Amino acid sequence: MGETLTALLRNRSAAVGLVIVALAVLIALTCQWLAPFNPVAQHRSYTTAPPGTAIAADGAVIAGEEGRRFVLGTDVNGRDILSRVLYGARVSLLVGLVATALNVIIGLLIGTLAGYFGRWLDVVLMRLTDTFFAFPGMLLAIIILATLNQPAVREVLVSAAGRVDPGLWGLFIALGLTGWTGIARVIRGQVLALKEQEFIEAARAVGCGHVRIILVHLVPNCLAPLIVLGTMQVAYNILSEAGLSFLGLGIQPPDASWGGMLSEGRPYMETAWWWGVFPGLALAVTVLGFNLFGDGLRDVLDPRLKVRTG
Amino acid sequence: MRFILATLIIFAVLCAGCVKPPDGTGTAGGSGGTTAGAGGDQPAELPAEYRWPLHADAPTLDPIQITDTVSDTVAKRIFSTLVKFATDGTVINDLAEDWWISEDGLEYHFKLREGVTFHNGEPLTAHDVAYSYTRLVDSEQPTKRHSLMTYVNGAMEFYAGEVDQVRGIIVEDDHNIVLTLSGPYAPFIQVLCMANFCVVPESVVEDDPEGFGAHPIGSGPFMFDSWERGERITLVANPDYFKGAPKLERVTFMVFEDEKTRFENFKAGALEHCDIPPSQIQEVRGDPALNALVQGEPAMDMYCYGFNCEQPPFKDNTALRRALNYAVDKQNIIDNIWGGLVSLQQTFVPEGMFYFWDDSPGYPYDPEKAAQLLEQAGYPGGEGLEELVLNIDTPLTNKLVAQAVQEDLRQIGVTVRIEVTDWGSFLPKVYAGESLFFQNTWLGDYPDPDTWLYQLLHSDNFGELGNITRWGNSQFDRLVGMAQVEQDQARRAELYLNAEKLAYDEAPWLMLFWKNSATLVQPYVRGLEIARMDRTPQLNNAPLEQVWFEEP
Amino acid sequence: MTDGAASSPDSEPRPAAGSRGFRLRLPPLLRYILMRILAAVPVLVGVTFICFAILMAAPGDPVRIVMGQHYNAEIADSLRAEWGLDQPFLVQYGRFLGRVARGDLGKSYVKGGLDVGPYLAVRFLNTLLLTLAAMLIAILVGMVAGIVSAARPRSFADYALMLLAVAGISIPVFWLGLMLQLVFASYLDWLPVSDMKSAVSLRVLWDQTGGNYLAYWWQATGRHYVLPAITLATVPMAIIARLTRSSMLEVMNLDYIRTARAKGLSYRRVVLVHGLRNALIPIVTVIGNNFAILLTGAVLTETVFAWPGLGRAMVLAINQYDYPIVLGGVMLMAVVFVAVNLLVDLTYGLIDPRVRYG
Repeated sequence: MGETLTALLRNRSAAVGLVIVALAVLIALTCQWLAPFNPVAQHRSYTTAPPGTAIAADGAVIAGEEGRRFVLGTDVNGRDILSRVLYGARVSLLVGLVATALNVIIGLLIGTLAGYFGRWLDVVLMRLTDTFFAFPGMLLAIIILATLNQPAVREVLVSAAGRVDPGLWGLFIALGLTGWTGIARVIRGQVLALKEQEFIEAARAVGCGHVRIILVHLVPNCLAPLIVLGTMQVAYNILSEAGLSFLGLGIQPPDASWGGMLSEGRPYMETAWWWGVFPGLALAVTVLGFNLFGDGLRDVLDPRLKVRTG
Repeated sequence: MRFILATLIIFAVLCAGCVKPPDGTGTAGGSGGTTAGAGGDQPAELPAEYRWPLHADAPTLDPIQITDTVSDTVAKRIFSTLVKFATDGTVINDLAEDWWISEDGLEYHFKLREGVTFHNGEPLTAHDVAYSYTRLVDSEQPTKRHSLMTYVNGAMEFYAGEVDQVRGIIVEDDHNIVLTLSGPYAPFIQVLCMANFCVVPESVVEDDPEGFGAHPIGSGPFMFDSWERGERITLVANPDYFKGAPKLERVTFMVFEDEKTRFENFKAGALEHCDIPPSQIQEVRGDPALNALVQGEPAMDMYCYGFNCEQPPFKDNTALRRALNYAVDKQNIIDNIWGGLVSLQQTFVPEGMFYFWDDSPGYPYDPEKAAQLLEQAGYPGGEGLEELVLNIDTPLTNKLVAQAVQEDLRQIGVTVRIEVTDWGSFLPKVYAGESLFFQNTWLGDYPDPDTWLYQLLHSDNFGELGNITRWGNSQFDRLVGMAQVEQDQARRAELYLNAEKLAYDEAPWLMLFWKNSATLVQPYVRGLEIARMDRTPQLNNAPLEQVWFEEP
Repeated sequence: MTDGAASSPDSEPRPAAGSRGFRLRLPPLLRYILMRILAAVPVLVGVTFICFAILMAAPGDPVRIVMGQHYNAEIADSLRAEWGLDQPFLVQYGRFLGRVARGDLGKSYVKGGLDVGPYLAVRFLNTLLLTLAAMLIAILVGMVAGIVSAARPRSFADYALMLLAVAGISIPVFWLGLMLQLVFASYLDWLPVSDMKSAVSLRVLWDQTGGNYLAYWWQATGRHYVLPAITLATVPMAIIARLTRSSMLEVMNLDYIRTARAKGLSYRRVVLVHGLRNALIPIVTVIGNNFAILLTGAVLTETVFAWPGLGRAMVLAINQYDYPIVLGGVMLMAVVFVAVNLLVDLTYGLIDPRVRYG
């Protein structure tokens, strides 16, 4: 473990990636102290203000804001872009992590069952995987989200969601249920390979039940590819969330989300470019961080897993 | 590499197939004519045709199936109606040379012009008119607007299949037709101007009822030429048009679903007019050349929010509803989000018809007054008021408006949660009265106060018939009912004024704005009149036969 | 008494070599294709079933959308009956499958009776063209980048290119599109903002370019491809670059390459001719996979550039509850996906002589 860590830190891309990821997580956790303004506070006299505009003494909405600057400008409702970008990190990371967790659980389950028990279960599960895989890109997620956004369904969601924004739940479900296919396939491959090895035979000879073999012997050996895939999946889910919010299906106003800001700012690109540019930049850097980190992890943990599946 | 070569070849072949060089009958693209305007360093020649933008393809061109503004605008150029709208909203003759209404308001007599022919040369007679109207209530035809004929004697019985013909449609001879109503209905003459009452040739439709919508034949100023689904509809001038041949040779309605694309094409000189996307308003206002090309005024296109008056906390709480009205800074929304492209709403009935409450005080932005009213309503500072759920649909500007309103209400202590839903699936809930606070939009079908006050605020029309706020007031109902049958304009105006004032006091809506028909028009386009009741870029009632091109 | 002919073992039809006793005398390649197609059928059924189930399960009402503010209960009911929306779920699904089997994809709800099949075919063609353009760019640029990287591992060029590659798969595609649009179309005005064809009349363009077909094509539609194709190409370009690099690095360490070098062949010849040819195998697979994915998933790029393609049509249809278009589109995409994957596998077999289809 120790040597893995050192190797990791020595790998340049992993190190950079780790720094970015850590920064993103930090921002997500502490944005309420970092953000200069309330992300939903509207400053009517400073709409679509360019970056660097300062609040004049008489224009403060909330006491104590005189002289503060809108470092990245404001949008058409007078909300500070920097603050919204910082809060957006929270949404993106939350969705990225939760959706990936779901993907990993489902993928692990299906991959292991298919690989271990084989025969008809394998065929059925792989057909199922193929079916989900055949849905292009985000289309299935779009269909699911559009359905979840319908009023009747949404009501159920709202009552079940409690304090959490129902929009977030929709994203968890839509992305969680559609991104597991790659993981399932890889895990299945791993299990198939591991299944024939001696230590498994030995375990069986000793009298271990299937469950024990799976949980104690197989899964821990899949950890390496799982971690790598998981990291890449977080990057993918963050991008997907942005795409879905961009299409208007994800987080609802007035909450800040990077994809949502891009979608709102799009018609104003020519007159208020800062509205769309900065959230996109934040998105790109965060995803880059996760990808770099994932690459580094792969180089260190399992060089055999080099880019092959694209 | 072979793969790359193969890809390149496939690409080239497919591409070439899509864009042929124009020669004679090349259909992959436009038709003749050169461009003027901002295009290039060409000698500016005027276009030979009018290129009219549509934001969607027309679903149909069969009059009885039309329910949308796109089909409406194309159909109105192909067909004629007995009467039609002038751009100031008054009813003028079209096919009818003369018409009069009986004293009791139950009989509408029309004398048709002589010598009118359809595009195929056949003469247009009262029989065709009768046929077209009967078709509208024929349940065996794909009619979608049979309810427009409700007041005509025997129409609904015919629709239900109980009788063989509509006894309220009487053909006296080839050029005279009478419509009798079951009760006086003042807006009726305006209803007849709608595209669903376009006259179609009986013989042609009888031959092929299903296919008529794809190859329409009418008697209007332009004849149907071709229709590339999803791309364009081309019409050519009708030289035998009974009001004189149009000055333009052709009109091509081009489908551009994206508003920015329409705008870019207008700037490049490829369209004769276009609507102004809200996001481009800064650009237009900032460019003197473009700014000079803007025409149009407040349209009869309303956008506001409605309170469900049958549910608490809005039920029976006029003070609360008025408080929310005064709390919202509507001018801010108009200036910031819409860039001045919309106008403040202060009444229930828009301008542009014989009646308008022009000195209505409206609900100007007054947070102090709002706070007072809120206290009166029983919720001082917003205490005790639960979160209000506001339902809107997905377009971007609507979301921005909702956020502005949410913030304004937050300032007086009222919490609003915005729920963006797909409107189509949301409507059933609104109709059933299950939504509390929601978007309320309406486009006037014809310029009569009845379609606003009766449909949207009368207690007969709760739910899907139009009154989604479910506000009812028996005094109001009485006034509007009387105005409906009253023949004298002045008296009607008085009744409507009283009714509106009543509704104003009770504030069933959170008034916001009227959308504008602001349109960019190329400088060489002459004679294009934009009617108040029209949406842009459809401009349904602009008399196209009077438009011509001339160098500025 | 012997007969001579009847019972001799050689006169019995012999099963083809490598099969499990099939009586069919199909060449192994054809049998492979047939099996793949058969295997694809349950996938197609599954895809449409899931789609159908999700759409129908939720109470969205396409009739409401079509009727808009002129909603009328009677007409609504008749429309519902006409579209079969009042039938139980399985009946509807069965009818759908039956119609598809006959080649009829139905008529759109929202676009007034438009035939879904031809409409989707045209949109698919538009997406195909864009995807081809994007793949061309991706392959050319990606492979060159990968080769350069592999030829000089751990050099500055290598690190720079690989960093760009990672950036390529990290940048949100729609944001990149918006940036390109902003800079090249809005500010510099070099390229058109959106759409696939110029709105200027074709005759005008023809006259303007004086009958020069290439210039004419460029003005009429070619210019419109540049920005969207570059945007769409970004991700596959990056993937191909990375894959080319790693594949070639692996191959170049193999014995026979070292032998070639030892024999004195130039470095360039070794890299390009021998290394690349063998590294091609996984690259082709990835190209094929990406092609299928792009073809069926270019939704975001099409939205940003208002490209009249299949992805955008699907998103619009989903929002409008235009079920026939959604279902037809999903089916079309699944078929394309399966078909492209099959083609890729076959190509794989052509390139790699070790693969057999027996």
